[in-house]
Amino acid sequence: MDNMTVYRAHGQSVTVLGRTSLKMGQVVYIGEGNAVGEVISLDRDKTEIRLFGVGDGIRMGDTVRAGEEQRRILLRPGYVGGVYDALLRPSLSCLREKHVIEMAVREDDVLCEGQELANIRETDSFVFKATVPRGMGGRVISIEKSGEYAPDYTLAILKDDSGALHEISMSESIRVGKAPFKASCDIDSADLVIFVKTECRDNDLVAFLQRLRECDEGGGRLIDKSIVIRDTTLLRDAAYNTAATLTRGYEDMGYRVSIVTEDTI
Amino acid sequence: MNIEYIGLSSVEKHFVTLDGATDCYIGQHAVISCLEGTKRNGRVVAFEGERAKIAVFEGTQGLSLDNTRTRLLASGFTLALSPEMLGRRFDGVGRERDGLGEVFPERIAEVEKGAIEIGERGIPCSALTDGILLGESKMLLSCYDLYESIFEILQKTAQREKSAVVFASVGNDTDTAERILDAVDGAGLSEKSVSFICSRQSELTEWTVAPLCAVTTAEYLAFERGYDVLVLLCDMSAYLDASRALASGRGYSEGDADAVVSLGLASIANRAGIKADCGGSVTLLSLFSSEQDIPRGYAEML
Repeated sequence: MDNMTVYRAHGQSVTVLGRTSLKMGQVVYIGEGNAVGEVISLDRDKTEIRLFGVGDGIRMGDTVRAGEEQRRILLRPGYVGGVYDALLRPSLSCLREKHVIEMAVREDDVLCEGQELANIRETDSFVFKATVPRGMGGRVISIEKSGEYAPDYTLAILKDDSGALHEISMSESIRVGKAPFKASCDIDSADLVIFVKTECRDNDLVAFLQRLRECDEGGGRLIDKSIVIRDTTLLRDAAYNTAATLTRGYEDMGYRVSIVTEDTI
Repeated sequence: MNIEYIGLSSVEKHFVTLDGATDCYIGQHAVISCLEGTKRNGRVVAFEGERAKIAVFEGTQGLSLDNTRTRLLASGFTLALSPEMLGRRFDGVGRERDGLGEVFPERIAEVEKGAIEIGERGIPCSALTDGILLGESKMLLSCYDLYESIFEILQKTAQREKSAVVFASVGNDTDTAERILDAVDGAGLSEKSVSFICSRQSELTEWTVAPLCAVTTAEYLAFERGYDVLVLLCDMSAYLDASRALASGRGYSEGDADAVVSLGLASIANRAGIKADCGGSVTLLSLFSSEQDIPRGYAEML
């Protein structure tokens, strides 16, 4: 394990001295404040990291922790109705420590990837479906009863044809891709709406949330099927990539998802 | 650990560097004492190894490599707050400038930290004037009849039961600042106003701090003392120019500098608001002398 500490912080760039085992594009977390950055250059005697956001609070000698090789987000129940930043860190969170789940399969059932394992009711109009992650599948050899569990608790163990075991919880870490997405303003027919708000003031955001709470067009309150992602100029690509990745995750559950950006409102 | 660093390693433009700073962080408050007895404030903006780069708010004029002692404090730049501030005049970094002595602080607050979380924010709904709601943040273009409009707004503010005005003058000529102060007096608010005045001759670094001091004072008066506070920030175009000029020294590339500057402006605009469960409000009027400086979608006329 490398002992990586911050040697230099200058604007959005942070330097770690010495040879590290980090990889290009790898995500790193810095210091107690968990500032997030990615590796942009590697050298025998130093590694350059570019921060997502400004470097306020970064301390000399802060520990740099290696994260995922590519940026990932955790697809888990509880995002609906909340406000998050471009890296999916909550600014107004609806995340809970435990969720009530209802199992949808039994022991000995054979499941393939994408198949539904359990349901979690998030709001009146939205049910989160815990599914078998991509690349996994097999016979259910052990399964929990319906009840209240933490998002990372193992709900079921699958055994595939080769005899390998897969532990499955209700949350899944998915890789953030730079996939293009189509923004739309089709809110009525969507099961879930992801709003990307650019350069949005707190006052405007609170008023916007209030409008979402009041907006009810027969199918329940709009806030009950909305996720709001806030964006700043320093993080623009990150916000759109996060929104597109979340969309992919929810679409795998069989939902129609609309991404609404400032330009399409 | 309270260490005093003797001397500086380099002095250039608005920045000084300090060697041997073993434990510093970006945003940390530095106090630089000159041997002749004056003190200057600064903010750590970058570091490399044990060398810290500090932006000096009061400028580097007169500093040498040997005539200083520097202390790095345990927090960001702070402002001493007290109800006694009402009726007083300060410079851009919060030092008294009216000869009435230092303010005895009731509370010390970091100027870069806002006071309202999103979850406790209320929605502005009661009107201060025809076009302005209490708790709103407005960006306005300075124009010829600006003073009349401001005077009207100040009069409306004065009519409220418990009101105060906080004025930050950034890079204005003395005339402009005095005209606004006269308007504050004329509306009968002179005893209920706090002014942070940095003139055109003051340092660019001071220009970037004055609006932060103003909103921090306003938040204190509003949410701890229950005032409806009107904040006048004039001229925010000068604030943006100063921030842009300092961004490259802080290590931001040209492309990122604009983003960082607009982030700073947005974070000031975000300090306006009301709390859902307590009285008091911060209404923010940012005045710009150049239309291009107002972010798209936010420009308004009075």
